[in-house]
Amino acid sequence: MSVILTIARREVASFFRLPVGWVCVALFMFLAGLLMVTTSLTPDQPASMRAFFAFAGWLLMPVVPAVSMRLISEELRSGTIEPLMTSPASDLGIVVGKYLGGLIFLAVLILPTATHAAVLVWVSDPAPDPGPIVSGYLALMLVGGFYLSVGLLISTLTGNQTLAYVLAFFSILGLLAGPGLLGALIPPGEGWSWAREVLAGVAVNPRAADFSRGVVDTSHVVYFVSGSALFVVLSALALASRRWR
Amino acid sequence: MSTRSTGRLRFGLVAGVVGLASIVSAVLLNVLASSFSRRFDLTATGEHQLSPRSRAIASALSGGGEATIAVVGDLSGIDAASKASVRDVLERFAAESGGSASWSMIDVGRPGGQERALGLLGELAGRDAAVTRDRERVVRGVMAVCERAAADAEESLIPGVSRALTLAGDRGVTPARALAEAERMLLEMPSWPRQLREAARRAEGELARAEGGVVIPAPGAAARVMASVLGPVASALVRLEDSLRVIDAAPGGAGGSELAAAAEAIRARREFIDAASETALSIKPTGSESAAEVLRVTAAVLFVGPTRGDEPGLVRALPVEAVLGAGVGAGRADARRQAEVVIARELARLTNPKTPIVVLAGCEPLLGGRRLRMYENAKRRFASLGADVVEWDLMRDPTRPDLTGLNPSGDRPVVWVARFPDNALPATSPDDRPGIERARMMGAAMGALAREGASLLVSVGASIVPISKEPDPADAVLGLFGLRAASDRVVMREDYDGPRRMARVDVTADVSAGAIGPASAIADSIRGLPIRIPWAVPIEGSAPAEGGATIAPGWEVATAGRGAGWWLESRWRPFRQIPRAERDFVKDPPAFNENEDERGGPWCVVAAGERPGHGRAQRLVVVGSNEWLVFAESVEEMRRQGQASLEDFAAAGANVQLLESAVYWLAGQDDLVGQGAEARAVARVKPLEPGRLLILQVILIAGLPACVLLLGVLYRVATG
Repeated sequence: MSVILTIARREVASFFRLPVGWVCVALFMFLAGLLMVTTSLTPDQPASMRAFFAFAGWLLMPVVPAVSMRLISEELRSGTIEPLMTSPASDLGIVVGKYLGGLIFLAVLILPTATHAAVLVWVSDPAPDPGPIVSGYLALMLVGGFYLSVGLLISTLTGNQTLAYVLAFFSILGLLAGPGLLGALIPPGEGWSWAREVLAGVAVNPRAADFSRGVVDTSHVVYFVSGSALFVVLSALALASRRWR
Repeated sequence: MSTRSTGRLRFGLVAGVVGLASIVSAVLLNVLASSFSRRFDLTATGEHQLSPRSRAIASALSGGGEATIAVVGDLSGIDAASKASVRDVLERFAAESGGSASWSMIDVGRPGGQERALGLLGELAGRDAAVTRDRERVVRGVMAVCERAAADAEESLIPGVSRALTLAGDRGVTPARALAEAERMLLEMPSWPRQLREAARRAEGELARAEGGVVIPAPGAAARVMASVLGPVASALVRLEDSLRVIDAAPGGAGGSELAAAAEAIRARREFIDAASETALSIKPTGSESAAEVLRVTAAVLFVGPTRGDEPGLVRALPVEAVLGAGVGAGRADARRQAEVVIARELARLTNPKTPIVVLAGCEPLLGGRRLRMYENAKRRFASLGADVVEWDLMRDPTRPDLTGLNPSGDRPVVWVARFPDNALPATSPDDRPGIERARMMGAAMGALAREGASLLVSVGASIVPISKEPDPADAVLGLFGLRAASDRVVMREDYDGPRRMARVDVTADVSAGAIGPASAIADSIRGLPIRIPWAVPIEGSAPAEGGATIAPGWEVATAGRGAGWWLESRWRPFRQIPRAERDFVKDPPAFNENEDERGGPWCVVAAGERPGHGRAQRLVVVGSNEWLVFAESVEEMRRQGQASLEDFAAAGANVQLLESAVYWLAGQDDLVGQGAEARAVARVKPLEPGRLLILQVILIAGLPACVLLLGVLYRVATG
């Protein structure tokens, strides 16, 4: 466990050591600010961050790959993966440590948007309902964690960070837009209802939208947590496969 | 095979198994999670949960066959957020019903939507088949009457009348107006056969009506077509008969026996056509017909009740706006709640299809034949809710209206809504009666009803009767429930416009905090709404009540006069005689006089009572104002003239809400009493000056990211 925490701590520190970490946070704040101003800060309109959180999936799409791209890729590129793999940490431990580090950085990334909530409370009368804001932040973390795990797997597969970013970006885009696009291609009729159900089951947006309305559904939590866990395990397997190449 | 190859193979196998197992586990976990999911609503107002009343209504459906709610139509114009929230509400209802309610959303603008909608209509038509056949038989009977009446008009009626009028013209002086009227009728009559036959032909078309190849007979529409012709023909025959009798009765006996015979023949035909018209009016559309009719013009929400035995389930069709897309902007926050209220009410109606009959009783001055349209708003509201409304004008006919036509089995609840007239008014014409007499007439009629166990909604206004130590006529009803109207004094409020002092009589009632027991259902339905009670008089307890009435605690539904500046004014009459628009400018408006008036509010202005009755509890709601409904009506009129404010609208709507809740409660249909309609404060962004808003926008979009970058630079400098 301590090895995992050490890897995570080292990962978080590395984000802040490099300009890319700060640029990521600034980029996210810029996008979040833009979204907040256009959706939630209109005089005489309901004071809620619902629209902001409903778009959370899209908001994280360009940012999370920037965080995940270097998790393992950087080690592969620089060759530091070899000493890491010969360390006492297991492959799963390494991947979990990296993931945990990315997740902590993600939390740090999201934290400054609390100023948006504070501004909204300041300019609203009466104060907005805190429930949907809390669940919205939970959604940001769960969705972000899920995307991060996808990016982690891709980062494990390539030593090229640019490629890792691009692949992760399009994979997340596929998760966000894929079910809707494929759903439109499914022919109407009861015979294809199973396909519609499957697509509805894997769609990210409706789940994020529920959180933004203040609803925490355990099935959504399980979806994001199990999805993240699955990609972390697959990342560990991908990393372990290097030993046998 | 080398050790490395073996190792690779082994690793590949293990990795494959572990990877596959992980994927399968994740899928299984998600399937289980969606089957046993739990939802936590973090909103402060419980926005995503059904209210206890809605849950009770949904649970009541279980075990009684399947009810269906279908949102059908082109839904492309409805915003996604509204659709999502209504979907959520429908899902909640379906879940709470334990599988006894299902729902679907059919967007005919999407591929396959049209087919699904037609399939649903075909299914409904199939369910209604037996009822449709019965109604079709009656419609065909009325069509036969149309054909016979057309033939009779051509062969005998028109020639007969023509002959009689010719004779009348030839034989001497006739009343000119009556003769002109009769001749005008005679000119109109040749078009009747064509109209009657055309109506029968159109009715035939309605009976064979089809939508996209699906046959959905429309006996209700067919009946309406025929009634639209039979009714005017019957009215014209009345006028013709009257004219002929006037001519016949004129000095000199202008037409003699021919006219009398013609008038008699017309009477017989008129009765025949009248009966057919009544029959046509009594034919109601079938559920499938109503659904198809609504869907033809707009998207709709269909509520289909469970079929019980051979009886098809009730079908109700509401325009989709009633449930979806209820709000924009701030209103959207309440859209879900509104959808829930409407769905709950409709589901409750499916399980209890006995809609109340509402008798609106008035005893207003005779205004030269004009009717005082006091209840138009309320009538429209009740009609939209499926209740039958009967108006009873005691001044025209003091006999109680016969409700057997509407209630042949006698099992529908009847609610009597009575407005006691202003008893300070004098008679306005020789035929009219003074207000005090009209109030006594109303008191006698309502007292008799109350003693027979009827449920009543009584509106009592300020009265001059108690001044002469007589009991208020309304006490004949109220006394049975241990209540009395202190109608000699009016709730007033002092107000100032700068130094100018004014007396206000437009009272906005507060829902009584202590409303429990019988009064609580109504109180809950209007809590937070601005109920306007003009010229309010206090309602008091007057124990002992006759017959064991429930009088305390909790008979107070709403009160008025909390806080400073309120009093009960005893010399209100001169102020009332001043026109409304001038009251604010009166030099010396009423003021509190400690010898005659009273302070110490709040006073009860809306009360409810219940007492053991014949079979079920007899109920009473009394409102201490006889203008609270007229107010809603007048706002409607002001709206047409563009003079009503938003506050007026809100209050008018709230008053009608009180009326609706009271009527359902009096009908014993507590499930249909609107649930807590308390207006919740929706958080809004305050109006901001453009400059200040721009600064905030710049800070959020550029300032904060710039701060982050600056912090990064500082960090790097600090850490070397």
